[in-house]
Amino acid sequence: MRRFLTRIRRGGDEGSPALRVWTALTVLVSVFAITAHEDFGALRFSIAGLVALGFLFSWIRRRRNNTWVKLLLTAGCLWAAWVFLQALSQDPYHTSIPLTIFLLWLQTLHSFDLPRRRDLLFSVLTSVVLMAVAAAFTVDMAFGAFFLPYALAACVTLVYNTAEAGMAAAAGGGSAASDPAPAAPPRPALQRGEAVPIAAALLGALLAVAGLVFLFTPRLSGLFITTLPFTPTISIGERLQGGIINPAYPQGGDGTQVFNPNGYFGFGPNVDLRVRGRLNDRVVMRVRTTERRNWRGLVFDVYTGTGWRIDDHRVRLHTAAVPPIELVHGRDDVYAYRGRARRLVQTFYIQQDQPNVAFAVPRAEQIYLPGDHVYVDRYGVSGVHPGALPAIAAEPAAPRRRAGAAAHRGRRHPLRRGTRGEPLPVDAVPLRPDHRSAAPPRRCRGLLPVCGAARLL
Amino acid sequence: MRTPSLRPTPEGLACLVLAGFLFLLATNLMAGWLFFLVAFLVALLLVGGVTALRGVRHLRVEVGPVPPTVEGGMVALPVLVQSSRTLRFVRLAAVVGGQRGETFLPVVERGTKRQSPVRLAAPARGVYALGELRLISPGLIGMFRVERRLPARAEVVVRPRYQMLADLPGGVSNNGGAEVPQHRRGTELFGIREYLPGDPARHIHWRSSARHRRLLVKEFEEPAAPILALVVDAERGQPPADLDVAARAAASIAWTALQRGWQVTLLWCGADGPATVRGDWEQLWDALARLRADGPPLSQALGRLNAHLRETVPVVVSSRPGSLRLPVVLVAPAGSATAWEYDRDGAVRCAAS
Repeated sequence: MRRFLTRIRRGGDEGSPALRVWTALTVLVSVFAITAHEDFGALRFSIAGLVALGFLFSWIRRRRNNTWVKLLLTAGCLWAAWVFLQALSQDPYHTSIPLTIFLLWLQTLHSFDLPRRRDLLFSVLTSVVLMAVAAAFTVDMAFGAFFLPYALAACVTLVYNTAEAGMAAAAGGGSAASDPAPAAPPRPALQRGEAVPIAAALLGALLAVAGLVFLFTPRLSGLFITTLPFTPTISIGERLQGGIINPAYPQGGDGTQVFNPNGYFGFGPNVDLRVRGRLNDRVVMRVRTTERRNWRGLVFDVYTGTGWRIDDHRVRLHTAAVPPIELVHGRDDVYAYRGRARRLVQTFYIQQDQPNVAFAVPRAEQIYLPGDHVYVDRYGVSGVHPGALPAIAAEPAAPRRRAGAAAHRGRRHPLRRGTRGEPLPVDAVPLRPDHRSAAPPRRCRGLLPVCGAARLL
Repeated sequence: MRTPSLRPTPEGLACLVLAGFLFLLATNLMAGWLFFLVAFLVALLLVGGVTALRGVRHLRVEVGPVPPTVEGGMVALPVLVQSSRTLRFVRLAAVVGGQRGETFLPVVERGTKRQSPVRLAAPARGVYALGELRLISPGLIGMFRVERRLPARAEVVVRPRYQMLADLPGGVSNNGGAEVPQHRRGTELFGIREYLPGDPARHIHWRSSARHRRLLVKEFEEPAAPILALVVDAERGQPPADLDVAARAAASIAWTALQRGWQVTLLWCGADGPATVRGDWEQLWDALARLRADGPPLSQALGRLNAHLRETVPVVVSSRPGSLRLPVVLVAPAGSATAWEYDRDGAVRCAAS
């Protein structure tokens, strides 16, 4: 312990300017990566500017007594914690945003007190956490634009740190002597700019190895250690008694409609097969899932000659004051799937206005939804095989919602014959979370995760 | 070469813990980029470990003869480094007498030989055997620390420090600068030579001058310098630090006496019996560096050394004077109630004055 304390007190050197610059770049890239998300966009330049200022400030004052600085930083940390707790009290089920903001402020405040090389390493460590948060939020490849510069800056930082740690060890390698201390040996210098090509070469090897590790990393089922990243605070409007609203076709009802390239015309009580048109390429939602699986959406049971119609409007209301909403299946529900149940998690990130129909794997058992209730059909019917729906997976789907874990393991389920006489699997779909305004608030776009855990039968 | 040891650094441990935590998080969230970040952290550990191991496998070192050093100075181990690959950020470490020294090699170019001295603070007086060198490699990113011990044979001699004294111990001379032996002419006739201007008239050898019909003078041989017999008490059982301090005092006396024209003989009685060193300063100094406390008590040692003390001026340096009642000049630690005393820095002075 005494030796440990001695090492802590000795603390290492203060770090070269190059190490500080590359550490600052590493932290700044992580800040930009996380503030690329629109929930934190307002903080982007203020946080980045303060971090840069903090690094400069800590370099200037690295050898001075910074007691008053530490006091101010402590007060700042307490203030950030207070803001975080306030946000948490207002929305206890949605901690990711305030927690990330809290982390950003802590990183910013920490950058004002970096007297030693060890403190710079703490900054790098925190920047990894920031990158992890940014990686958790991101759902597309744009994160790569931040990851590559971050990896390069981090590599250069680590190379500088390794070189300077070696220098420090060589300079202070002698243990305490009883006789007068000799003069310190000359300190070898790392040549200027030498670390960058080393790190660049290293980065190639690192990315290659990381690619291999990534390919062979097991994707286990969700462990549910943390709260799933859903958005529970969005108002979803008044109840509609299970009615379906498609914002692309607000008139609904029967009759031929004008094709809207922003939304699929089949998400409603009726589907008119005479409608023709081509959907645009806008991404409407992204989904994370633990495995590839078809979705069950709307089920139409009556063929009208020009299209299909939902004839069975019986729905069951499921409510929960606190997410998730457990979907208890009734005796009159019709199932078609057999086999072993297993857990499946789907997380939906809604990016465009959606109908209020939740697409999910059949037999969802839990749904994390930004609301307190959801309607579920007793079955889906005729002519539409569940496997047909994923063909329009890029089309508007349900608003933020989540499927859940299931029961009914190993039960045999009745089959219902469709209008064409063939046996079709039916299930307790669709989920119909009510919300009149199908457009999620701006804050939800791009992030709004809808998580689900379901057991398939 | 011995098997290298691989240990994670604090940075590596942090990386490992973070990778584990983020893996759980990624599994929970099914976030692809988070998985890739975990994979990158794992890659950091793997590449860091490989580069660290590589740093110790391709390096060969040789240690040359180590020049003697002085207490409180620096030991510079001359290490010749050669690598079959270009290596970076390698450290060489050595431990001598509890003192650790390291040298940092930012880069070792492939195929080149270079001298990389390992400097460390000199330990206490004595002779130390360097058994091994430690080769330490943190790799390129410092995730692991690989250490390999390489056999290295070298002897490190640390000599006692000394200082010029104002006075030599009493008995050697009268006080106040009369210690310098007089380089006067002797009394033994050496020969006859021709008279040179300035020769005293009383040295003219009249009989030979008359015979050869020119002035011849008697020439006398130079007297030998007086011998200072410096006896160091090497009694076994005394603390090493005490012997070190006595050796410093002896070194100071020997150095001062040699500077003033004395011959100095160093004597002690060790485990192998009486030992004598007579010669120049380097030999005396080296003998004082190798002195060990493994002899009999001082009274017995003086008895055995008695034969060596004839026609010398004996001065005994002892850290434990005890009840010594011998007609010698005793130099003992300050506060031991002897006429001459020394301090821990090797300064010797007359306590009475």
